[in-house]
Amino acid sequence: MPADSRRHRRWLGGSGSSVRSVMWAGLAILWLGSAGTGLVLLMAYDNTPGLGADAPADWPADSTLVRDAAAPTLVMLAHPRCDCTRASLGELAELLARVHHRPRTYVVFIKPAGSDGSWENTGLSDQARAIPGVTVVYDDNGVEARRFGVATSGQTLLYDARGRLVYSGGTTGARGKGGDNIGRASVVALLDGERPAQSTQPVFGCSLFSPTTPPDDRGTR
Amino acid sequence: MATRLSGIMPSYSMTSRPESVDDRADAVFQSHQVAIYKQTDRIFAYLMGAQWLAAIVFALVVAPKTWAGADSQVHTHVWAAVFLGGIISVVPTALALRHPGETATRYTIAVAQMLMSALLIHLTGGRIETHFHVFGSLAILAFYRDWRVLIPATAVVAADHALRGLFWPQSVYGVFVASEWRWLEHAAWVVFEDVFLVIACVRGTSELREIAVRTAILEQANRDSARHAIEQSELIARLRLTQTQVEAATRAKSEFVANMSHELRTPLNAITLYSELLQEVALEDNRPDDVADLGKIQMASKHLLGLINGILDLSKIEAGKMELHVEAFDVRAMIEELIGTIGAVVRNNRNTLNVTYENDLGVLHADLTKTRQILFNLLSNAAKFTTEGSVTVSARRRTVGDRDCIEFVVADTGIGLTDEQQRRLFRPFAQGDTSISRKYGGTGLGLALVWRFCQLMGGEVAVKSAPGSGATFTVRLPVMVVARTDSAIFTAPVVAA
Repeated sequence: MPADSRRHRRWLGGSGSSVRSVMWAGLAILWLGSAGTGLVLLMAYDNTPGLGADAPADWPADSTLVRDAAAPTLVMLAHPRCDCTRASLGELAELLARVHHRPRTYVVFIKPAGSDGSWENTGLSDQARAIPGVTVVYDDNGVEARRFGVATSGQTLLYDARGRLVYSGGTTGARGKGGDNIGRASVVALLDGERPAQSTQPVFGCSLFSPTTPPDDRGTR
Repeated sequence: MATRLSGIMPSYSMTSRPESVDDRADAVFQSHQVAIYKQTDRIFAYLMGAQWLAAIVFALVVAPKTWAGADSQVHTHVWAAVFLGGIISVVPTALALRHPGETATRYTIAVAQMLMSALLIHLTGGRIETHFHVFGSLAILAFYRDWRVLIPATAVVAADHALRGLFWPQSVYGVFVASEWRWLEHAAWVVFEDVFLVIACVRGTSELREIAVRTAILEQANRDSARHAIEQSELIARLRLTQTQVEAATRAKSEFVANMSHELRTPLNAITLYSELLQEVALEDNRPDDVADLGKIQMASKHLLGLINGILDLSKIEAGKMELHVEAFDVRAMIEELIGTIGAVVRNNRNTLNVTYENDLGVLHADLTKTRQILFNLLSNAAKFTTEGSVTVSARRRTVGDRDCIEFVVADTGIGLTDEQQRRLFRPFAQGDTSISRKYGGTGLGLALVWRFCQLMGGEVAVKSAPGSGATFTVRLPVMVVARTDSAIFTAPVVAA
């Protein structure tokens, strides 16, 4: 191999100094470590579920939502400005398209106290309205969310024809990520009368309530 | 010259030992390869910046904020795009700008590009479409034509899938429980592309080397050509110097001969004149023995005078001092006058003299003296080498090419000439052979002067002969001779015209 070739095949600096090599190796490790750590943290964030629901085992009697007495009723609580919920709505549309018998479905968007009308005209509202068979409901001050014990956007509850809770969880596998996941598959199975893989699943999305909201006023119990 | 050429071909110096074609091919190959590395590094430097910016814009557009009730804050994805994207992009970009062409630079870029793929896939919510960034990046990495860079890139993709499959299988496979080897399936598709990219890299490198070898061979040829040109120009310079020296020596010799001839002719004229006077006195005193002796002195003197005149003419021509005195004269009258002078000489050996010419020969614009000298010398030769035969002189006007000429033909039935004799015939002092000189006398200057006079007047002379069959000399002179002003040295032809 000619001298030129050897020169150009040397690594950075090419001085051959062991100190320099160690320095470069250290920098490389630092760089890779930083990038790797960042990606791991990002994945951890995306895969960290929100606060789980403490949904009532039976359909809450004081709910303004009307349950289908002859068939399951599906309820998704959502924050109208949570971008992660776009994936949850996408999965809701997917599962409704797959089931043989489409249930009565509500998408309940919360409206924090003092919020204006713009909270009702968001992209997520439009997305939800576009799903066939879905009824969009606005929940002033999160009253319905509290009734259903829900604190995280994207939380999906399925009650059977007798008003018993059969599924509580998300419809996505991670924060803002669509695609096949156990939550969606479980809901589909339940609606099709099959044995579900899971009856509860973590939910990924924004918090429906502000941290300043008193714990008693939050949806969870 | 070496300095000038080194400016044209910086890799070579005419004074240094040239490197071999193989070494040069290696150098050219390495140079091209490093140029490709640097060029691709620059591409990635811009690409890294563009990707970083795109990640930030994408995060801001898709998920600018995260919410908690009515409260909001900047979404983690935005910070990830800014900081994590920065960490991933800045290092390889800095290396590409500060250390382009280095091995570590492209390896770092390969790793960074795959990390950027992972980040973008995260930011887009794991959209399958974003996974094409991985395959596109591998294709761009192949621009390096260094298949080794695909190894760390592929390793990063495989490690990403393996780790995510281990800790967050649903984020990559869509299920909570997946085989710990499932990442191999994903990595296999990357390797599938790698195989073709490696083939492309190897082919590209092979072509690059082929081009380098051709370039080296071409440069070698150019270098040889330049060296040959130098040698040739040096040879021409030496030849010109030699020619100049020869010309100077020839002129000096001719001037010397001309001067000497002049100095010799003066006393010789005195000898001739005084011998004639003494012969007249001897005749008056009735001293026949003295008359005969003085006659021999006169004959020897005249022979010597003729020889000196010939040498003088030849020297003048070679020295470029022979001048033409072009005048118009009647060809027929010139021939008749010549016959009147030389007719008796021709008939001495019991030869018959035949003269034929066309009636419309007209006027010839040429040097009368030299034209007459040409014919005189030819007729003298014909008479000398013919015994009891015939000598014929003829003249006619004819057109040769695009010019009018007068053609003189002097033919005899004498002893003729061999081919070898004909080849040397017009050289000075060259007779047929030494025996001819002894038997027939003569100096060997007559035909040399004929050839030179013909050349001087723009004409030509040719001979046709065979031993024992006589000889025919043909002289063609242009009707309108132009006086030559150059001083070219006339060289006798190797073969008679």
